[in-house]
Amino acid sequence: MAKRILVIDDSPSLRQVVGIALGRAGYEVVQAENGRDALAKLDGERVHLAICDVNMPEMDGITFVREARKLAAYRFLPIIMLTTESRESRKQEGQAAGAKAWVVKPFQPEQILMAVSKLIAA
Amino acid sequence: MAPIHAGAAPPLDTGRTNVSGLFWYPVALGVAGASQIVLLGGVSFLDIGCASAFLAAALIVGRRLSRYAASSPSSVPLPDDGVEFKAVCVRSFDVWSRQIDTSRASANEAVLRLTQLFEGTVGKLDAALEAARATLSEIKGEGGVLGEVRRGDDELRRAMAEMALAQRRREETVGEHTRGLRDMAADVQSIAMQIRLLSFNAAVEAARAGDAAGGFAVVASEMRQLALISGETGAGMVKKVEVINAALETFVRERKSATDSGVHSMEGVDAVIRAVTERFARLATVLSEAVRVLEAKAAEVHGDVSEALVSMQFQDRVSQIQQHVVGGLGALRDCLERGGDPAALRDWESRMSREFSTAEEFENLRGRRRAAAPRSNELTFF
Repeated sequence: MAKRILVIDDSPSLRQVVGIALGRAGYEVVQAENGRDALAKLDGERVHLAICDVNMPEMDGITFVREARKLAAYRFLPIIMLTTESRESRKQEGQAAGAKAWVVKPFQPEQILMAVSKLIAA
Repeated sequence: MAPIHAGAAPPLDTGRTNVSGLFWYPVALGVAGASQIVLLGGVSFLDIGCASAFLAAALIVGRRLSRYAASSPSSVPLPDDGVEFKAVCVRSFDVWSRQIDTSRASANEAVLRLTQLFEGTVGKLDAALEAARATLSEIKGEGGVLGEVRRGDDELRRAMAEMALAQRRREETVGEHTRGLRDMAADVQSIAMQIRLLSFNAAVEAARAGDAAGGFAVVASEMRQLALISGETGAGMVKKVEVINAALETFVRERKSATDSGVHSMEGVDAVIRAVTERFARLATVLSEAVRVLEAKAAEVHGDVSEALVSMQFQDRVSQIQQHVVGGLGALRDCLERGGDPAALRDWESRMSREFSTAEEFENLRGRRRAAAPRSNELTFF
């Protein structure tokens, strides 16, 4: 059974690009447009990993990570932050919230796939 | 960005000076002219009248010139308090924000559509490659058509060999039986001959013995009869055996002929099968080579796909920067509408940069403009 990955970004084209990279590697992709939408999706479906943008309306990525960690089923969900943020302070915020990796856009497909396979296997 | 000081008056327009000059210069000339008339001509009624007329004319000219200059648009002075300037800025910020949002929405929509088309094209390429591989596997692979045909041909050859072997065995068996029957017939004839000889000997001995061998002579006579019957039976058996053997040999010949005909037909079929198989194998080789080329091209396309996926992310970056610009324009607009709090404006750059996320925005703020977004490979595991 294919592993399911939740992709969270307010940019539809970026969600599509990540979806193409993951789909070609055999992963099933679920999309959400912000942190709040992502929490609703977690309530309905089982996911094995999340890839999340930082700067989003309604609920940003770091808040989503904190909220997801409060859910019993997703306390240890691997979450990769995928963002244009280059400030070290924001990266530290993400780490403190519980993210497992930080990727700065633009990403290489092989790079994101390597991170996904490493974290899903762990 | 340089700070804006609220309430600063713009420089006074020089149009006001030009308007007053256009009035007083002719008047001054008129006064000078009138004075000259009086000084040179005297204070007669005529001289005073001329001087007055001259002065009146100068006044009229000056007034008309000043009125004309005053009605020219270039001479309208700006207000002193900068209110209209701020209003123009606020309106401009609104317009620019809408322009940026419009272009951002259009670009987002176009890139999303492009990404969807791209995904469809890549999917079709992958499907075509998969179909070619499946067809090749169907032909050449384990359990494929080519293998099935070859196995069928092998079975046909085995059947042909078994048929030929069975025919040989039949011929050998029939040959043994016909030889056996002939031998048996020869044995019967031999026995009959021996009985005949024995009966002749018995008759001779009986004749020698005369009347004393009366019973023996009867036996000898019976033996002679038996010998005759045996001989006839033996001859009959030989004829029958020959008939049977001839029939068996005919049967075997006919079976051999049928078998040979069948084997010949099967050899013909086998030859056709082999020819078709070989042609099929050649086609499979051509298809295999085509699939190999397609796989090589697909590998190149996959590399291009990876590059394209990186480039497609530019719109997300541009969109974020545009969003921050619109946000900054909106904040500045609000600040101006509230009268421009000096404290807020002093800290303006710091407040603006709080919304920044990309490296290019920080570089631009510091005055070091980036030509393009960075091709980042930054990945950190926590």
